[in-house]
Amino acid sequence: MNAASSSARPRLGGNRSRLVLLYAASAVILVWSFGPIVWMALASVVPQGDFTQGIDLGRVDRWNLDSYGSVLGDSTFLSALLNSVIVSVGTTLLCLTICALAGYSLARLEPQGGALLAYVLLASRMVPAIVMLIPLYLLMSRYLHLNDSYVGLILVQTALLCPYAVWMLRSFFSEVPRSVEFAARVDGCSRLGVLRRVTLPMSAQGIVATGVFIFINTWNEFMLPLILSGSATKTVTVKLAQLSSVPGGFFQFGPVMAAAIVTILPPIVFFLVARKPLVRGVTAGGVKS
Amino acid sequence: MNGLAKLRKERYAKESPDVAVAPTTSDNHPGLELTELTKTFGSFVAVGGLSLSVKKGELLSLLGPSGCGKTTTLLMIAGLVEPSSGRIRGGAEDITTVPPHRRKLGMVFQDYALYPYRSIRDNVAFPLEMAGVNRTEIESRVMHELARVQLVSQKNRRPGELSGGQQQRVALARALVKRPELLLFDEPLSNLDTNLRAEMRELIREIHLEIGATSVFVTHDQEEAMTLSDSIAVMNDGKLMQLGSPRSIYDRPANEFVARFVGRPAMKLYPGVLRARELWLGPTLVANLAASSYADIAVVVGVRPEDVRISADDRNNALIRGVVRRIEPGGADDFIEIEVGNAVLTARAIPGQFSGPRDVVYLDVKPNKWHIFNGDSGDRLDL
Repeated sequence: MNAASSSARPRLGGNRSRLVLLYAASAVILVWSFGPIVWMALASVVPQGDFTQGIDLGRVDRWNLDSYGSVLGDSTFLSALLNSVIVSVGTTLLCLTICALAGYSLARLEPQGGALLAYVLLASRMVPAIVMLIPLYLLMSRYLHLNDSYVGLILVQTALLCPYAVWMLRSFFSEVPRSVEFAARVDGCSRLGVLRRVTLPMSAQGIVATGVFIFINTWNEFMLPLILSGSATKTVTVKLAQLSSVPGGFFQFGPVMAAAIVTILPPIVFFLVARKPLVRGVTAGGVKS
Repeated sequence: MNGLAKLRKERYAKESPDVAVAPTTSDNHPGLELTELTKTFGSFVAVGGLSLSVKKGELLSLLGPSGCGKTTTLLMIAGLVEPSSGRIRGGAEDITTVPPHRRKLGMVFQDYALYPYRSIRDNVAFPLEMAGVNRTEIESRVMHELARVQLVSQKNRRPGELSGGQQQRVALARALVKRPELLLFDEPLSNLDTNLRAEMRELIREIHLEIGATSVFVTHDQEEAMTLSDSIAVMNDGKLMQLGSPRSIYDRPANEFVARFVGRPAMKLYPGVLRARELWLGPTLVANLAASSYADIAVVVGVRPEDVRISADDRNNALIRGVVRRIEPGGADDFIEIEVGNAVLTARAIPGQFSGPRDVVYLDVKPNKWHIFNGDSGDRLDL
């Protein structure tokens, strides 16, 4: 035991300096990406009047949650939050359903021109979304009359995220051994039964990963809901922007920062719940491609 | 699609309704019958016009190198790959278009193909669950099959917790639980190590005999095919090379491919000439045959190592004289490579009988032991 550990020491030393480097790099990235969030969190608890002097860490005693009180008491903000939840969950479910079927077809049924189709799908996302904003708006409002509706928002977001989701799911599905699917068909599953009873459970992690990806993207989307949502379906990102730009009004740092914190919480919670499968799923997908 | 294939397809299209509902009166049907079975992927012919039949309760091996179409054939029999043309009959029924789970078959795969998220018990129960069998019967049948493969104690584990051999036994139990009339094996032993392979082979043989299901066993391992099968279909490039008993395939290979593919060490073939009853291997007269219907024909010639007797002295007035090139120890026997003219023949001999290279030896081969193939077509010559 002792001999083993002492002989392992030089290598351990090498590992240690690598670890230090790794931690240092992680620290930089952490500060870089969490700095603004920390600043935001602090700004949300500093009393309104004090904020003009910046965030003074010496006056912790005066910090309070008043801003949260005012934000959470604002029914328009809460309904925007609810709208975002509805649109994000709806988009995640619809997109997963459609893309699971599409991804499975591309991975396993080998339709003629399937590979070409997959690339066309991906290429369609190379058109910047902003180019499509005006046509989309006209389409949704004039012809489909789906502006300011959940259905409209969900449909558009689903359409835009499908290419990615199809690609992700396709690669997860193709990792399921063909023989297991064959076995399931011999055992009595239909094609769809195989997907439901074998392929989906076996690629659960990939599906969760894709779901999280869709959810976070939908939640964070600003431009589409800005154009397509109205008073009834305003999402939280749009509401946030409005809060911070009161025309002619006084910009209230505390409540806006509190609202921002509340806004980023749901994806974080969602991400934490789905974290393990997400990481594993993404790793597997990455190794494969 | 070429004209012939189209014609064939139309004919089958016309025939199929009658065939599908044909009543079964006699029980003289083969267990499995393939007729002109063809599968093409684009311009690639994976299986080309394969016709063969397996007697009820017999085990047929599809033997061939990788890419010869044997697995595609098996998948077509299972209904997992749709044939481009041709028919498949299982017993009295035409099952060409019947979905896999109604073909009364069980299947075992090379990589076990178990459901990783289900317990061993639930893996074996799955086919019965899908068939809507009631719980108590499922339980008793699953336990019966698990007992057969000696895995009752592992029933609550997941496949990932079992060894490869155990997993394959679970797969076997799952294939048997539906009491299939047709058992299909897709290289089931290839992922196992040597000792386990022999054990598993024995188990498969026993179960096959016990159950009496018509079986098809795909393998690239000739030893497996030889020891397990009632008959062997040797395939190459999507075509049937020879169908026969293990013995007949070894003793009378139908063509050059089978001669080279079956037998260890592989039979080496060399160009020669058959002049009436004289068989010439290069410049050497190697045999005076008992009969011949050829005046002068280019041939390809070979002989199995165990049919070559060698001695250091020329007691029997041997026709062939050669020089030892290399001695390969093979355990029970040595394999001795002997140069005869430009050819190298291999002889099987008791170890230690010949010491080393450059020895002059005399070869004695019974005339009927030579395998003689047409130099152009590669088919066995009918003397």
